[in-house]
Amino acid sequence: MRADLAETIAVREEILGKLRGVLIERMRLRRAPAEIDADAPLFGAGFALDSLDAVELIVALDTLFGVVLEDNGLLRQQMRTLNTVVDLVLAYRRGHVGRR
Amino acid sequence: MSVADDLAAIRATTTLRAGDELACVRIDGAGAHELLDRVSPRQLFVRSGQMLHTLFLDDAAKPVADVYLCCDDDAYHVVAEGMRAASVLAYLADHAHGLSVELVDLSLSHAFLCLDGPYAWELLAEISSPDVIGLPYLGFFHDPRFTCFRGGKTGEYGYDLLVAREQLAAERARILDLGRRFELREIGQEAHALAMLESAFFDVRRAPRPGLTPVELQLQWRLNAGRDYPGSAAITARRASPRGRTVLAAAASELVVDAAIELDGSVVGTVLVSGQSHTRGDWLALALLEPGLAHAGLHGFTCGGIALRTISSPAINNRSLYVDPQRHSWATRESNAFPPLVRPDWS
Amino acid sequence: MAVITGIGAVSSLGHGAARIWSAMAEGRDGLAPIRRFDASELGVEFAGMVPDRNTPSRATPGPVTCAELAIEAARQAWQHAALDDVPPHRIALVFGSSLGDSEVAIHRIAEAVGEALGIAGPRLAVTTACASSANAIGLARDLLDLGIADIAIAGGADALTPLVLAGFRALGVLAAGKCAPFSEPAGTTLAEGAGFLVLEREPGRVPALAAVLGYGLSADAFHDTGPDPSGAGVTRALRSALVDAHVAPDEVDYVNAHGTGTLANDPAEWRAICSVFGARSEVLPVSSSKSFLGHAQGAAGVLEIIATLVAMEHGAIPPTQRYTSARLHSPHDPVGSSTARPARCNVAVSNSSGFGGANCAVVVAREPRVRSAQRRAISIASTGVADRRDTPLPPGVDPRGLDPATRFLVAAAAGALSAANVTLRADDRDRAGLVVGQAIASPESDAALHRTIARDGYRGLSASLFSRQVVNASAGTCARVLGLRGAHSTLGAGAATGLLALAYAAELLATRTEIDRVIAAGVDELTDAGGEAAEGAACALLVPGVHEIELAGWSVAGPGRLDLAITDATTMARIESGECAVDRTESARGAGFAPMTAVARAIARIRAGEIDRVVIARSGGASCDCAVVLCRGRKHHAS
Repeated sequence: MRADLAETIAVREEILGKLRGVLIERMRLRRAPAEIDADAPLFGAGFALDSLDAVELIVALDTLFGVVLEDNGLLRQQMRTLNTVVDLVLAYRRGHVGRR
Repeated sequence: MSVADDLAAIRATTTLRAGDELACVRIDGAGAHELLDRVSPRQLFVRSGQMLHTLFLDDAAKPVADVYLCCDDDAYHVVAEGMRAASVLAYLADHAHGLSVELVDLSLSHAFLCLDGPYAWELLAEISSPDVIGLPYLGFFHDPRFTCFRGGKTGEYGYDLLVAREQLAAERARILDLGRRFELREIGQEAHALAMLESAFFDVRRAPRPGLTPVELQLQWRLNAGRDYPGSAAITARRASPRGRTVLAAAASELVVDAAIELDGSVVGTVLVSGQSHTRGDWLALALLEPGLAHAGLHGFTCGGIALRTISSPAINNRSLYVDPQRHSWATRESNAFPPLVRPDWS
Repeated sequence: MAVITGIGAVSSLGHGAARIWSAMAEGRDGLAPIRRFDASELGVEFAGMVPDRNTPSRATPGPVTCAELAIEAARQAWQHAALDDVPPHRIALVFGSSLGDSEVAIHRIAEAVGEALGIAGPRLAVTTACASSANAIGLARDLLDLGIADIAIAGGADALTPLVLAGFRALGVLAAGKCAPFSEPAGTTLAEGAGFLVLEREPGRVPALAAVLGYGLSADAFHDTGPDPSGAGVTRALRSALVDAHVAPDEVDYVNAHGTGTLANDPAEWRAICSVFGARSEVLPVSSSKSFLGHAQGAAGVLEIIATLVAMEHGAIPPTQRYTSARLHSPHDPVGSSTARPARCNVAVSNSSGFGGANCAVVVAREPRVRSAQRRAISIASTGVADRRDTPLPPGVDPRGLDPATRFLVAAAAGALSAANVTLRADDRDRAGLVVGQAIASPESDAALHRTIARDGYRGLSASLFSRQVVNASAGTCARVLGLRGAHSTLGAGAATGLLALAYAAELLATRTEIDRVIAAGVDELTDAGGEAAEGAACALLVPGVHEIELAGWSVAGPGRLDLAITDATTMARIESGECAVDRTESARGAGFAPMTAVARAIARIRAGEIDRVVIARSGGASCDCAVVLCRGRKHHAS
C-alpha cells in the first residue's frame, strides 16, 4: 500500500481507538471496541447518546486531544459519528479550524 | 416536479410520501415480549411508547428487514421495511413455539403516510396537537386519527403515520390542506432513497448482498453481543474475520452499482448503492472495501475510471440538527441563519 | 389554606425581604461578578451572591454555607411573626434544598435550623432540586391542615459553590452575561440564598400578610435534566395547584414563572401557561424574578414567592429585567421592565421546576379563603422490595447509568405495580404519583463525580454525574422509567424518612382527586454494605378506598415525641392505641429502606391473620418522630 495512505489510516485508527475508549469509559457504553463502528450515529440513532453525553465528549476532546474550539457550533456538526469527530481532530491539528 | 426538487424539499421544507414500503404487524398476548426477545438481535430495552431500531436477519446473518420494535403497554408493533407483512408474520410465527401470542397484520387495514423535513414537527403539531413537540426521536403515540411513529431515515425530522385505510384519503387531504402554509410537497420513493444515501441510513432494499452481515455493513449498533437470535452464530464467526467493510464514498460523476473499485490497479471493493446527491452536487456511493482500506478520508480510488474518495458519514449537515422547536418556526425561517447543508471538506 | 404571618430572606439583593422590594422598586438586580472564588477557569462571570459575602473565601467570615443562610432567614421570619411566645412543640419546620452543604444530609440542616430556633415540632426536609422550597411551603400547609402543628416555618436555602457553578456550566445552561428570561441571550445565572414563610392555620394571632391557598405537584418523567418541551408536566402541577386552592384560572392576576432563561425551560413553561390559562394567556402578566435574584436553586421557589408577596403588598407585580427582544414562545406580557409594575394583584401563582423533572406550583393571595377538603380513605394494594445490587430490572429497562439507589427504587416500584397487576397506560400515568423517602443522593454517583473532578478538574466534571447529586435524582429516573407523572416529591427525615414518605403519599392521595394511586418508597444506598444497616428500596402502592389493607392513620411529631405521633395516628385511624400491635423503634437505624420494610412485614402479618392492626412508629432522631397505622380493611369506615 502507498505510504501516505497507510499513514493516514494509522493516524485515524489511533484517534478512533481513543474515542472508542471514551465511549466505553466515560459514557459507559457497554460494547467491546470492535463493536463500535466508526460510522455508527452517536446521537439520536446509533448509540443514542444524550445531551449530557455530548458534554462528556466535548470535555474528552479537550483532555485527550487538546481540542478547544472558538466556534462551538462546529461541535454539533462534527459529532455525528466517530469518523466526523476524527475529521475534526485532524482539521484542528492542521489549523483548518479556529482555536480559542 | 423533479427528483432534485423533491430532495431539496426534504432538506429544507416538509414532504409527504406514501409509506408503501412499510409493513406493520401487531403482536398481542403474554408472550409478545418473549417472542421479540427471541428474534431481536438487540437487547429489548424499550418502554411503552418507545421504539427500538434493529434488524431481522436470516440464518446467514444477512439483513432481511429494517425494523422498529415498538412497545405499546402489553402489545408490540413491528414496523418493517424490506419484508412484506406476510413474510414478517411468517418470520415471527417461526419463533413463536410455546408462546401465547396473536399476530395481527395491520397492513390489511392500515397504511402509512410519511412526513419528512426540518419543519415536519411543526406541521405535525397542527395535524395532531402541540404536545408532539415533546415526542422524542424513536417515540410513538396514538392520536385519534393515527398512530404516529417518530423515526425518519432521511436525517431530518421524520414521522410515519399509520392511518386506517378507510380514513386514508380524508387524512391525506387534511394533511395537504394544513400543509399548504408549510409548502408541503408530495414526493416519491426515488428522492427518499437519495436522502437515505446522503444521510448514510442503511437501505435494506438496496445495500444487502449475499455474504454481507451487519459486521460488514457497520450496523453492529443494531445488535448486542451475547444474544441468541437468527444469524447470531454467523455474526460471531464473522466478527473474527469480516469480509470487508462499508464506507461512504464520493465522486464527481455517476457510479454504477456493483462496479469494481480499484486502488493502484488492484480491485479492492465494489459499489453497493449509488445515487446522485443533488444537495452536495456530486455522486455518492456506499462502497464495500477490504477491511484494511475501509476508512474515511482516503483518496486514490477509482471506479470505472472515475476518481473516488472515501468520506465520513453522514454526507450532509442536516438542517434538522439545527432547527429547534423551542426557538425556531417555519414562519420565522428567513430570519434564521443556519449553517450550510454540506460540511466543509478539510481533506 | 394557611395565612402568612412572617417572612425572612437572604438573597443576592441583601438581608431581608425589604431589600428585595427596594431592588424591584429601584430597578436594581443582584447579579454581580463572582469574587468569592475564582470562576475564571469556568468562564462564568456573573452570579447572584449574597452581597456582603462576595469576598474571597479565605478572608473572614469564610465560605457561605447553606445552613447559615437558612438559620439567618428563619430567624428573620421568626422575629417578623413574633413567635417567642408560641409553644415550641406546636411549631414545625419544613426545609427545602437542592444540594445542601457537602458531606451533610439535608435533613441535618433542617434539624440544625430547628435547634437554632428552638422549634420542637417536626423538622422535615424536602429535596426536589430547584422545586424544593416551593414544595416545602405546600407540605407545611398540609401539616397545618392535619393539626400536626399550629405554625409552620417553611422555605429553603442553597449556597453557591464552585462545584454547583461547574455543574451548571457543564450542562450548558449558563448565560454568557446576566440572564434575560424570555429574551436574549438565553441561559440562566446562578445564585444563592435562603427564604422562609411563617404559615399559620388560624388567622388572628398577629396580622396576616397574605395567604397560601394551595399547591400542586407533578413529575415531567421525561429526562434527567431537561424539562418536557411540551410543558405537560408543568401543566399538571399548575392545574393541580388551582384545584387545591379552589381558584379558577380566570381569577389569577399574575404568574411568577420559574423562568430560568434557558431554552429548555422558558418555551416549555410558556406552553404550560397557555394550556392552563387559555385565551387569558394573551394578557396575563408572567414575569421571572430570576432576572434580578438569579437562580437560587432550592431557595428559588420561596424567594420568588417572597418577591411576589412584597410586590403585592406594595400594589405591584415583579418585573422581568433586561427584557429586550421577545424570544419565540414567550409570554405576551412578561412585565418587561427594570422596576416593578403597579398592578392590582389579589391572586398569584408561582411556578418552580427542578432536575429530575419535579414541578411545584403554589397559589398565594392577599386574602385567605376557607376551603373544605374532601378526604378519601387510603389502602395499600401491594408492596415491592429490592435489596440486591444485581436485582433484575423490569423487561425493557436499560440498566446503563443507573446507580444502586435508582436500581433499587425502579425494581421495587415496578415490583409493587406488578404485584397489584397494574399496568399504567396513557392517562393513568398522569394520575400516578411517587413520593420517595431518601436521605442522601447515591454515594456511588457522588464518588464517581468526584473522581472525574480529581482527574479533570472542574472544567472536566461529568455533567451527567452532577445531575445525580440532587437527592431526587433516583425518584426522577424512576418516574421516567415507569411513567409516574402525577404528584411527585422526595423527602428526608433522618431514621423516619421512609415512614414520612408513606405518610406524605397517603396525605396527597387522600386529598387530591387528580391522582388515582401513589407509590411511597423508602430508599437507602450505603457506602459500604455490611454492618447493622441495610440498603435497598421498599415501596407500597397506595390506592384510595377501603380494601384489604387499610392505611388508616398517619402522623408526624417533633423529636422525642414518639408517643404523641402514635396517639395522633391512632386517633386518625379511630383506634385506641391499646387495641393495636405496636412496632416502634427509637434507635437511628436506616432511614428510607428499613422503616418501609417494616411496613411490608406488617402487611404480610395482617394478610396472614397474625394481627388485625398495627402502628409502626419510628424516631427520626433530631428530625421528627413518625407513626402510621395499618389495619385489616374495615367495611364501615366513615371518612
